[in-house]
Amino acid sequence: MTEFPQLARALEEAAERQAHSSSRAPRLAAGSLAALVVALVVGIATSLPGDETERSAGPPPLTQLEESFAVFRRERRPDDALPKRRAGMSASLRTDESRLAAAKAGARLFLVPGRLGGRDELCALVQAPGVAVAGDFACAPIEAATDERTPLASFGAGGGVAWAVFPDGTANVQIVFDDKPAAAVELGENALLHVGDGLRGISWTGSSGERHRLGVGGPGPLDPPARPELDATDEVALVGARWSGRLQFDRRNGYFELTLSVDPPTGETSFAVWVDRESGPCLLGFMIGGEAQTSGRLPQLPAGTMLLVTRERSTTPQKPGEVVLSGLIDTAVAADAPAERLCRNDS
Amino acid sequence: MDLLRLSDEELLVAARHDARAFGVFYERHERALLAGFRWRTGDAELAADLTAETFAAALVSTRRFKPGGAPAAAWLHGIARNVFLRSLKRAQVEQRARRRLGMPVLELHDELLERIDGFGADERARELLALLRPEQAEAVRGRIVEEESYADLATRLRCSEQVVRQRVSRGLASLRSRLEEGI
Repeated sequence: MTEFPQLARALEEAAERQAHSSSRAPRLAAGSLAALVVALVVGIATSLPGDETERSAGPPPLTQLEESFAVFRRERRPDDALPKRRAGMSASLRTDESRLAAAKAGARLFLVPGRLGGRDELCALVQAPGVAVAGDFACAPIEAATDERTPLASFGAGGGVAWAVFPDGTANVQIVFDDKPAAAVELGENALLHVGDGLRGISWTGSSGERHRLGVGGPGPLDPPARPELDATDEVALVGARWSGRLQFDRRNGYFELTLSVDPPTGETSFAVWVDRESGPCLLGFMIGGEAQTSGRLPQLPAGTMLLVTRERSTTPQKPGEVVLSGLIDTAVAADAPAERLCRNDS
Repeated sequence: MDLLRLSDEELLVAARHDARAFGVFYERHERALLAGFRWRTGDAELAADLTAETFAAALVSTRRFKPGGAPAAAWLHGIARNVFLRSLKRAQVEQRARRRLGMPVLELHDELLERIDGFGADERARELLALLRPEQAEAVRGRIVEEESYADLATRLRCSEQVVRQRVSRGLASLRSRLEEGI
């Protein structure tokens, strides 16, 4: 006896379709799929396809990816195969399920199901001339990658390559440039691949109809924010005014890898990575130098609130501790907090 | 196969190939979920919508359910919690799983909404008890809901009074912890 017979029927019909669909898709059977474990090697080339001596205990299921990304629903083609040699990756990847999602001006963006830390993830690899080793590979938990607000994306990986991966239903994607009007772009197969300098941000409409944006350094506003508290405009403007470096990141849940290739206008630059907890912003790392790289695990990372904060200790006249850049791993958030408040919550 | 005799865990495994198994699983947990969402939102329509999305998400995830891990009810309520929190964050009920499954938009009749509005403490208690291991749930139900004495419970459950006290205590602690998590 059910309270909601209409739902019960709809679910049974859906279950019927799903059961049929799985019986028609033997390629999804766990035993038939190879999963490759690649050790974390930054800067050392490793061979991907063919090196299958280590297999993950449980290759991640494709179901959720197939449901959210059309590129995984189509038949695999010969050009979907990953490049033979890649570098700087840490993942258990289902290389036999990779897909070429976009190709432009010599750059190629591949999507690969993976598993990191026991979680199913969507990974993206970019092969392009001039792309930095550490910047061409990124993964995100499938839950995050399928969330319309938090596409897997990377800007400034080198060679003027920027990319983002969107779930089905994304529309009205626009690229915002430093020095020319925003341009509408057609998504290829769930992916945006931009080759060329001057990209300042992207904006898009998710399947819910909500408008989202992700900004990077450079002057000029993005389109008006839908939610004032998530206004990226201010901090992006700050970036353009006081920061000329490039930010590239590898977004993961509970894990960050951050490389800043900094070219500050003057003096020494310090930067920190913060996470905005309920109790207040909390310092996670602090580095000094014109070029720095770090990685670390973030305990209890609250989604959508991670900040990258920089301060310049230079002759530039500005208030000590003033936030001059904040980028967000998940979503852009404006931040203008004095150092005293931030530092009180150091951990 | 008599699906009604299968445990929740067995039903979820069977549901990968047998749609009827998921139907049985749905019927077992429908009221608890409707009541839980009604309790959280205070709105019968929202509760029905969230329940539909939760079961759809559970159906999508049946292949990922691992028997022997968390009880199926706890697994389902974990999904319910995620659906609820994501919906709360976005200020609208999530529809992703239903869209993926191609499920039709369901009409919510007044009669159904009135029934959901009528769900009270009993359904909420049932929902919470479903999260516990069976022996703990039985001990908590006997002691807290039925107000049986520890001695009577020990006799009925064929164990020592000390064991019953322990089950009640651990069950309540587990519920407290889950409530603190927002379940």
